Amino acid sequence: MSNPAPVVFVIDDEPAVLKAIARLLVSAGMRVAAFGSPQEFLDRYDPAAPGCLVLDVSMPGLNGMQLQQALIEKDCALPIVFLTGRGDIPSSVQAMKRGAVDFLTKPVDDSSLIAAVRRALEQDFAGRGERGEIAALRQRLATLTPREREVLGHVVAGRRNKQIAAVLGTTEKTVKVHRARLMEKMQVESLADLVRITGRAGIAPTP
Amino acid sequence: MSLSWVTIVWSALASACLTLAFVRLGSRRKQPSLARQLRASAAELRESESRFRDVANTAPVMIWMSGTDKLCTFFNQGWLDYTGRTLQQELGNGWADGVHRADLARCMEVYTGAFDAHERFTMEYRLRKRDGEYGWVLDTGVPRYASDNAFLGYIGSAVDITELKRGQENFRLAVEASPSAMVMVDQQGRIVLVNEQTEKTFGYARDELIGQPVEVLVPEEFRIGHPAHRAEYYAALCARPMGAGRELFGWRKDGSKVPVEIGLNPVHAPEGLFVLASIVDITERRRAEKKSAEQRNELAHLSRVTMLGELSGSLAHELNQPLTAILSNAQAAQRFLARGEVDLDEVRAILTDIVSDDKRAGEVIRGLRMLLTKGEMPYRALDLNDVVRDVLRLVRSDLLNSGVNVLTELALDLPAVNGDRVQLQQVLLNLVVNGCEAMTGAEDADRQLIVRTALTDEKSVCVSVADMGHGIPPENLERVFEAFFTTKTQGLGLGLAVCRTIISAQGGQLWATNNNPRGASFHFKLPANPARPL
Repeated sequence: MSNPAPVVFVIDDEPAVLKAIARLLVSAGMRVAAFGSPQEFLDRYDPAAPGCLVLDVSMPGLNGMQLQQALIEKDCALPIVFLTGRGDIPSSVQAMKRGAVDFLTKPVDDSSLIAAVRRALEQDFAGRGERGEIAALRQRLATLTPREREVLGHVVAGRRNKQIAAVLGTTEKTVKVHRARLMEKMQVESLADLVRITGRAGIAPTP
Repeated sequence: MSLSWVTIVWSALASACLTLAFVRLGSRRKQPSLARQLRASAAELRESESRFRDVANTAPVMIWMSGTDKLCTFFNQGWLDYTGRTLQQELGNGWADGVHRADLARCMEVYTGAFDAHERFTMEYRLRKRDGEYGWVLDTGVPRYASDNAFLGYIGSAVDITELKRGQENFRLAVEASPSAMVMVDQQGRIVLVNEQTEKTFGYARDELIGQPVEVLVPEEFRIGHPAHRAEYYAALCARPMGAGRELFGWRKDGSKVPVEIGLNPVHAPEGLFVLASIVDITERRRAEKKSAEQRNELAHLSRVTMLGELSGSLAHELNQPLTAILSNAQAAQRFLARGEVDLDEVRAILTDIVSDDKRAGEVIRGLRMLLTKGEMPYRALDLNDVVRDVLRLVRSDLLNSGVNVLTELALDLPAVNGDRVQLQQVLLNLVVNGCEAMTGAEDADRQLIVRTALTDEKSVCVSVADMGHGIPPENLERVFEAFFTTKTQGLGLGLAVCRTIISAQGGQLWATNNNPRGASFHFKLPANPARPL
């Protein structure tokens, strides 16, 4: 991936805490951008930029949990490390269910925070890689003709050419040609590979 | 003392009559020839005497005269009307028949004693009246002289003082019956009258006090200034409490001090001007006041601790924030150092931040400790704007969590108020927390609390907390301040009752109103401290 270096976005309404957390992450060699409120972050954030969020739960206006929800709705998968002043179990459960990387209680020890941020950055990196792969598969799928797309569904369902020909009302030979073309377009060598990548792209076998 | 005034008027009239009589008796004019002079003198004398009799008989006093032999030679109509006897019966020593037997010997003693010395005398005795009852009379006699200074005998006047005597007796009885210690003092500061309660309060017997300077009842440390205070009082006589605003103490015989309240009243009596001091022993009241203040403080403390318990999350958060900053700053510095990148400016900046965050944590702790303090704090001059800021800082995180937006409208140039900072913080905390609770369940945009301070009518400072909740049913606007009145599922319902006690104890008022169009407001008002503009 030729993406720029990831950035840790720290959001806390408390200037002293914001400054200290940012400093700590900088001391761990990370690139940090600090924001005094979720709104400020939303106004300036570029979804294409890689990184992760370190987010205070309770803030005036939009709070941490609401920002998480807003990002999910925007289809933005930036991993979040939550910081909270109180060990609030219901909100930590909710945050984790929605995919938060960690939910840390203030005051937070440097090693826990840094480890959590590293995990978040790895998750973002991996996520971006996976999202890139899926995007490529989708592009390849888009090159298939409707007939090839139809044949693909039956192929990944494990049907033989003869069976597919019977279902589609065509000859076995035509099905064989479609099959070869779609294998080529999807850039796979074997049926096993085809099944794996279509699975990841979310294509269900035709029943 | 209207009775005294009556006496004074009587005495004045009597002496005016006498003076008139003497002037008439003694008037002489130069005449050209002796015979004419004598004739004229005789005529004038007759006229003069006749005038005297007219005056004497119409005067509203009893007048008598006696000769050099001490025997009476004249009684005016007033006297005869009073005793209901004839002139013949009264002449000589006849008058003595009407004098009460118990008073007669004393009367004769005074009369003959003064007579022999040619001195003026005054005496009181009972004289039988026309109806057989005895009346008290005040009799004053003066020697009279001829133009050649020859002693002629006495002339005297008597007035009925029965009413006055009765008044004096009533006065004495009233003083005696008073539940307060009553001490009457003359112009020289000597005690002339005390009642039984005085004996009880101060531990002296009556005889030990009469004639003593009143300062024997004043504690040593105030004794020196006391005569000056007395002089001030005489300079501006009026009935008033003593020692405006000062705590007063009496000095008992056993040397102990007794807290007292003293009322002063000028008393105009025939004998002169007196001051009657009414002294109330307030030991019990002080004790009761102290007890009630202790109970009030105890309750205030209890309710404060309860409230702080409810706010503990918020308070922990306020402490957590600076601790978080301190830890992260310190660990960042450690990491910078470990990496060998020692940027001294950065380390300096980190240390500066650590110091200020630590101070902030200290402030939170100090505020908390103050709120948890038990007992009475001395009243100090306070800026209510500061109190508002302190309280909002303490509940900041609670307000955040409940999604309440707080607006402050703090008046500039607010005068100070005198009060107990902690208890005022408690009141405001209560009002703010109540305001927030009143808005739970409301739309986000409507969860707004306005805290205002204002100077009202130049004399008091008012703090208002306005919410946008459902308001208070009009019939409950006053009831919300009753103990155990609550609409909440949690809490004892003591908060507002305690708040009202606190504000009242500091000389202020706490009340509730409904807002237009919605929500309720709680206001409290405290007297501004005029001496301390902030």
